Amino acid sequence: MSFKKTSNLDTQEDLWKLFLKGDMIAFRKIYNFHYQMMYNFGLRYIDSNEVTDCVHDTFLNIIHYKDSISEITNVKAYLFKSLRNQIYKVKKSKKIEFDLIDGTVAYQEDDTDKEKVLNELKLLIEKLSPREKELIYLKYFQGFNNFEISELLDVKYQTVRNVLAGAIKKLRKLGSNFIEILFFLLSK
Amino acid sequence: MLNNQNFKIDELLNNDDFILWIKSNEKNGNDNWQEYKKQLNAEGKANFEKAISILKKVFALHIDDTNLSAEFIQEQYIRLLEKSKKEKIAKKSKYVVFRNVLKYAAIFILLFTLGNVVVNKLSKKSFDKYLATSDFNSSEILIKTPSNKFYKIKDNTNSKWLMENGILVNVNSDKISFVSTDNVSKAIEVDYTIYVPKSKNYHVSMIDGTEVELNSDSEFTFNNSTLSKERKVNLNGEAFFSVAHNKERPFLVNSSDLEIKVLGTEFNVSNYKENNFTSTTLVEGSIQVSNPQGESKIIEPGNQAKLYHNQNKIIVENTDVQNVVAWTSGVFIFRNEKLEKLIPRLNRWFNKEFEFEGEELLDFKFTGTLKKENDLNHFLQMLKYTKGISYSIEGKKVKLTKDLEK
Repeated sequence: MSFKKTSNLDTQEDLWKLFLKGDMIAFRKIYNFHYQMMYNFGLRYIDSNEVTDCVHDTFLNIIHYKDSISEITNVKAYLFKSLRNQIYKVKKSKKIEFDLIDGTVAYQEDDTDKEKVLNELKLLIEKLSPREKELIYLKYFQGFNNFEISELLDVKYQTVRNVLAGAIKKLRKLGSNFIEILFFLLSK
Repeated sequence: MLNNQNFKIDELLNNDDFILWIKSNEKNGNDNWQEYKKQLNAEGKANFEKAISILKKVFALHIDDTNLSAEFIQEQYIRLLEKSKKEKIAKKSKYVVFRNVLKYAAIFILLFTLGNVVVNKLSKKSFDKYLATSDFNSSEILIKTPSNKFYKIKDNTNSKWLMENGILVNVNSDKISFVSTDNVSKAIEVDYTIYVPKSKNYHVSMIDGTEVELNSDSEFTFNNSTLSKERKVNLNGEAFFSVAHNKERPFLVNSSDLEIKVLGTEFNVSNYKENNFTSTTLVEGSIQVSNPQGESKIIEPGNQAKLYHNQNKIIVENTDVQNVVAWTSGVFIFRNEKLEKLIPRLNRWFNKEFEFEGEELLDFKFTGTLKKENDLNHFLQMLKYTKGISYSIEGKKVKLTKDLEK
């Protein structure tokens, strides 16, 4: 799970409060802690160059509009939400879709076994809608709970629950061994 | 409350309370889920275990396997700070455009000798890493750091780094900037001096956001503290200041005989030796000038205050602001000025020594515009065809002669 705290004394939320008071050391800690996660999250929508710019602009906006940002309950959820909004803002004319796997799973070219499984997995994942993929990712790979996801995506709590229930059902029905495939694929 | 329910695997996988419990290694201070498990039948228990197994496997996965280097993230952070700074400046530069339009825009010039510079010995190893050290005799742009060492800024210099105290330094052949990234608490007395030789210009972007454009043959000392009560700087030569507004910390341009006090404004200061005076020209805002005798005046935009070194009186008069600040855009405007007055400026811009045959040449008057980017020949050609003055160049020497036939 990826939602860790840097230390017991400085939660990201504490650091955020310091940052709002103008403490740039706190800001830098927040930045360093979340950069990789945000980058990876962004990669699921757009390519790496675009992600770099969107993460950049997200933080730039936070610095500029610091005074109008109120206290937040979950820094990571807030940053993800801001980044996602930024991506949609930049790509407004084009259709963008969340992609759970494509391009993000590293495997050896000569590893035919893995390649085979990867393809199988991709086919499986393709059965999910972009929204379902997005929710699965946020919940199981980014460690957000349903409430945080509903805030992050600006959808109702009940909707998150329902969409997830549907996605889980689909995955388990389509490939009862979905999780095992995923595990096999990525464990080595 | 869990006891009356019988969750299916799918429901367990979607249950945040359950997920939290798994993540905490089945501890999490509540054993509701243990109790729940106890009352399940064999099939229920099997499903329960299956759900746990699936979640544990999922959490063990790392599908985010792009690993960015710490350097990349650091570079991106620096880029962020620079951009953030630049946008602040962009807001400010609207005023600069303004200044050309506004009628009341004006300037003032003053000159002064270099005040005593307090340099403290704060070691800054980082400069050693990025710039070459130098003796003080170079024709290149030099920076003296708080550790009293000189470093060269060359045509191909282009480095940026974070100093230990959290200040971001970005230096290239045109400009050095200091950006505060973290709370800079240690450094109180950190003086830097920039030396700009003849024929060069340089730009300093101070840590408080103040921008300083230095003209050729100038020496500028400033304190890089963010905590001192006042922002004190010294100038020998000429500079255009765009001071970041901060009423808590007045900006003081200091000299042996004239002091300029501002809160945030734009003004030009000049004290080249041959002029025998310090002048300051105000573009925008307001500034206060004072001399050692305690005389002090408030200057309005468009006005110039002059203090002659051998007199104690501050003279304020209206002036042509455009002309005074033209040098910042690499232009030299002169209106009906004697050659005698032009020569020192040409010398500074082009780093040449001028010689005359015939004193009367010095009284020749000129009106025109000279761009720094054009070379000196351009100006000399102009002299030849408009005034009948011939020239010859040998190394650093330029000899001017009146044509016989005219």
